[in-house]
Amino acid sequence: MKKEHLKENEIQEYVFDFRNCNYSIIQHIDNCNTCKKAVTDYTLLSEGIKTQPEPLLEYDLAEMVMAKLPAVEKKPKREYNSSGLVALILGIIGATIYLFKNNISTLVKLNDIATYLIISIGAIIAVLWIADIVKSHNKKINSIYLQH
Amino acid sequence: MNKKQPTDKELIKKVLRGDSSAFNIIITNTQGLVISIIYKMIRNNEDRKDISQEVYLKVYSKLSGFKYKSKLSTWIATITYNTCLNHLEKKRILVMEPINDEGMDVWETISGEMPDDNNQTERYVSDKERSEILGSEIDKLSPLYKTIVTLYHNEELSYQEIAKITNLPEGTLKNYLFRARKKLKDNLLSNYKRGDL
Ligand SMILES: [Zn+2]
Repeated sequence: MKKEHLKENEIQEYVFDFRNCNYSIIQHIDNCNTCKKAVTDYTLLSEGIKTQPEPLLEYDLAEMVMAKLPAVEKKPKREYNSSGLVALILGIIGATIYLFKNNISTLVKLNDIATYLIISIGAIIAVLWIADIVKSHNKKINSIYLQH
Repeated sequence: MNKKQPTDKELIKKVLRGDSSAFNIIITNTQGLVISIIYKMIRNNEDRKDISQEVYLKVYSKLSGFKYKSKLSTWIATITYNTCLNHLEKKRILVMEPINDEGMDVWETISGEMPDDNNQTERYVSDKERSEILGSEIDKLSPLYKTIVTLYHNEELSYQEIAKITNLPEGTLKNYLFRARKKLKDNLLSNYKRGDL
């Protein structure tokens, strides 16, 4: 046990940072009424600070801020989605197939591996192309919303 | 039935999609902390009002850059503290007085006389008076001391969070908190003594 009384910072460490408090400090306080009283003073101070009244606002902060926000909020209620764009692209492909159905049926009648290969490669390219268009379109739309 | 509170992430996502009611919730959730900081840092009521709005307009415009490295409230508190700091700099007000330790040991040993002085005063000073005296003593502290005392004792933030908000190393923050409390305790004791006379 320390013979001298504790220092102010040691008392505060005991009150506010007990986990990091040295054992010799704890031991001293347990055996010294003067330092125990200093502990009580700091504890009372802490309680006093906690019970200080909170500042009262005389205005509605949220309402004032909301009125000043840039006018982005007139965004459509429904979230934007790219189904319209996909439908348009599928429509174009469908119309193309319909218009050239005679040529296509001739191709299919040939029924050889080369024809299937051409059709499958064409289909894969079409899918990737549609996906790319939709992605870049969404990106542009989102950046327009976020810019506001 | 308990309705689940939306998380920071959910609220931010909604705001970025243009849902203003989510921003309203963010303000409601964090304004206590924001106001606490502003009221400790800034004295003038008109300035307090302007700064509180400025803070949330900044939060709104910077929200897409929030990196989730801290709680949203800590991030907003940091913006609040920095906005107040800029204001004080413009007005040439010091955020804290220079520390003057020359020729004295700030961390003096506890004196054996103190308990008697204190006991005597307890008989004369009512709780209400005590609280008012403490309020005015807190008010006399520098803006930085007042703020960190409030963040620690009233808002119950961790050292780590307060250090992040004030951009102080944790060791320095603890040292400032110690000094602020000691100053408060000494001033209170001298106040009570005067009250006894
Ligand atoms: Zn002692």
